[in-house]
Amino acid sequence: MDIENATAQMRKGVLEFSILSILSRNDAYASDIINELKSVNLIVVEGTLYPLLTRQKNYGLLSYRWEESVKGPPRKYYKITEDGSQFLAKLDESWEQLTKSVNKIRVTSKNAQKNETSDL
Amino acid sequence: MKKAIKIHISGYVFTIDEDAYDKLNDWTQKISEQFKDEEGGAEIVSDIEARVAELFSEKMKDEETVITIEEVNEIISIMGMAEDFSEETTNGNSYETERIKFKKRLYRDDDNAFIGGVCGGLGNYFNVDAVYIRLAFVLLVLFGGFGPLIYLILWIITPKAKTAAQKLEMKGERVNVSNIEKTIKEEFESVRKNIIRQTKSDSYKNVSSGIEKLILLIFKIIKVVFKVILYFIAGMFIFFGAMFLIILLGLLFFGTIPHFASTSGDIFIFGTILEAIPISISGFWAQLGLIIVIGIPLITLIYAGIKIIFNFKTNNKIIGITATTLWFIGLFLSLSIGLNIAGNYKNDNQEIKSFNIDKTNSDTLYLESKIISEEYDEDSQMDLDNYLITKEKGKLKITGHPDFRIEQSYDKSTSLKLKYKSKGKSRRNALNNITQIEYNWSQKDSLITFDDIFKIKGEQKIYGQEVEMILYLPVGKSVYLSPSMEEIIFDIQNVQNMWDNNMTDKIWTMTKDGLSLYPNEKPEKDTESYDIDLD
Repeated sequence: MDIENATAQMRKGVLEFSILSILSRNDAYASDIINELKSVNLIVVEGTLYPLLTRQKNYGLLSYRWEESVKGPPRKYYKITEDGSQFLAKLDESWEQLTKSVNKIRVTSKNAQKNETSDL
Repeated sequence: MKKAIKIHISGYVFTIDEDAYDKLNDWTQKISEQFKDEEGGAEIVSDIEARVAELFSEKMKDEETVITIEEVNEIISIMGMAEDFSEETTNGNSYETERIKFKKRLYRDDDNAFIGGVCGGLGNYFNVDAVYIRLAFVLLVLFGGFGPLIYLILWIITPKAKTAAQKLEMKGERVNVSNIEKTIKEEFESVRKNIIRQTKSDSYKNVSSGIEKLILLIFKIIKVVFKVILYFIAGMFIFFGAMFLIILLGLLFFGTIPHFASTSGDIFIFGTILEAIPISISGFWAQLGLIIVIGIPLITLIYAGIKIIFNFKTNNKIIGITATTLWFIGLFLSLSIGLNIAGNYKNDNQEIKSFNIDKTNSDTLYLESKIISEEYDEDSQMDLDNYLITKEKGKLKITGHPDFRIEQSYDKSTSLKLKYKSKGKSRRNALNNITQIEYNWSQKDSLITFDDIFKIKGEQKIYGQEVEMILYLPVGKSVYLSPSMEEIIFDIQNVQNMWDNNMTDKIWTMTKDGLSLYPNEKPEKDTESYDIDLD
């Protein structure tokens, strides 16, 4: 198990969570989602987003409709579904739980480390 | 000057440079390959393409602005390589797939095929160059003949590697995106080249009728048969070239034929021959000359064979010219040494000594031979024509076989004539060589003893020395040839026309018609009485 793989797994989960969160505010084009994820450094290359969107759509968490754009052909306009909102609520809940738990463990570990170094 | 192409990407039209297009197409194919087995894979790809189109349309003011390779590189860096997607695409079980050890499978390698790709596939499987496998098959043909059978069976049972994943499995590479990319790239290239080749050739047509298909099939079969024959010949070239080369080198450097090639038990010592004959320069040059003259054609043969099998088309003129020049130098060297040697045999001379052997008590002479050749170690001996060369403690001892025959004497006296013969650069040299011949015989009343060999004294080489003995026997006198005489008697004329090897252990009497077993010309009567039992 290497660090790259571990972070990839983590980021994958976080990304799916973030996509649903963004769409819960309002419907968006894929490019809007990308821009927001990029602005918070959650995504490096855009290509990674599309497989996630399609997979979430296939699970019924999202849907899309074709929206006419100013220039060029119509584009997919994504919208969170009822299932998606419920799923998001559960994710929110477990996220709270997870961050709390993980933070607790991390703080304890850090303190233990500090104590160890001060003991010396 | 660059070629530009018009392309459609999800509803947009762009003008793009050819190299930029190749790159973009490559990238898209790689991504398609990545998602091809996934549910909704096509949708993912089209979404990505749509985004690419969107990004291009933001950059390009209008359809006429040409997309260059820089723009394509920029888009790819924004979108990411297929490898970048892979960590997200594995469905949560990426740890497991990571751990699964990749298994190598045997496939036929169509990309590296000579006939059916069996050897190529085997090569991939065993991780050796297919050439060696092919060579092994050719050798199997030579030694057992079941090579083709094995090949045929493998051809039938082994599947052909068709998909990129199979090709990777065949090579034992892990099926991951970058490897698939590599394979696809290669395939794409080969397909493209094939198409170019096919469309360029005039024979390219839409083959629709059965007859045309049949003809094409026959052509293909002929091609394969021809290839097999060619391959076989190449194998023979290498095999025999290498064998004779080993024999040649073995002869020159180790003095003997390597055991496997030796057909008889005789030890043939080339170096010894060079020592035994007169060469004014070192024997090394003679060896070198022979290596060059015989070796270069052999190496050329091997080289030709390898060239056919490895299918490389280097036509290095320098090597060819060098080899040819070297060969002529070798030929010149060998010829001049040969002429030099031959010069030592230009003149001949002889010395004749006669001995009277009348004073004997009986009318029958008893002739025997003293086997002195047994003094020499037989294990370090070799026969060279009429000579026997023995190497003892690094020194050569050359001996020769004398010839003995019996003729009718016309003056009623019995005599023995010894002719010493030799060749030499000049008559004087030849005479000098004669003095180096040492031959002994002795007479004790009616018993005459001849040495079975003559010796060449000192460091003297072979100059065609001979010792010829003629016993002149008057009519009425007899000889008994003891069995030991078989070694030296040579072509003795007799009435019975008997061969030399049957003449010993018998009494022969000189008659008017020549030497005869039956002097009274009554061969019917008690023939046995003429045979004498020595005991």
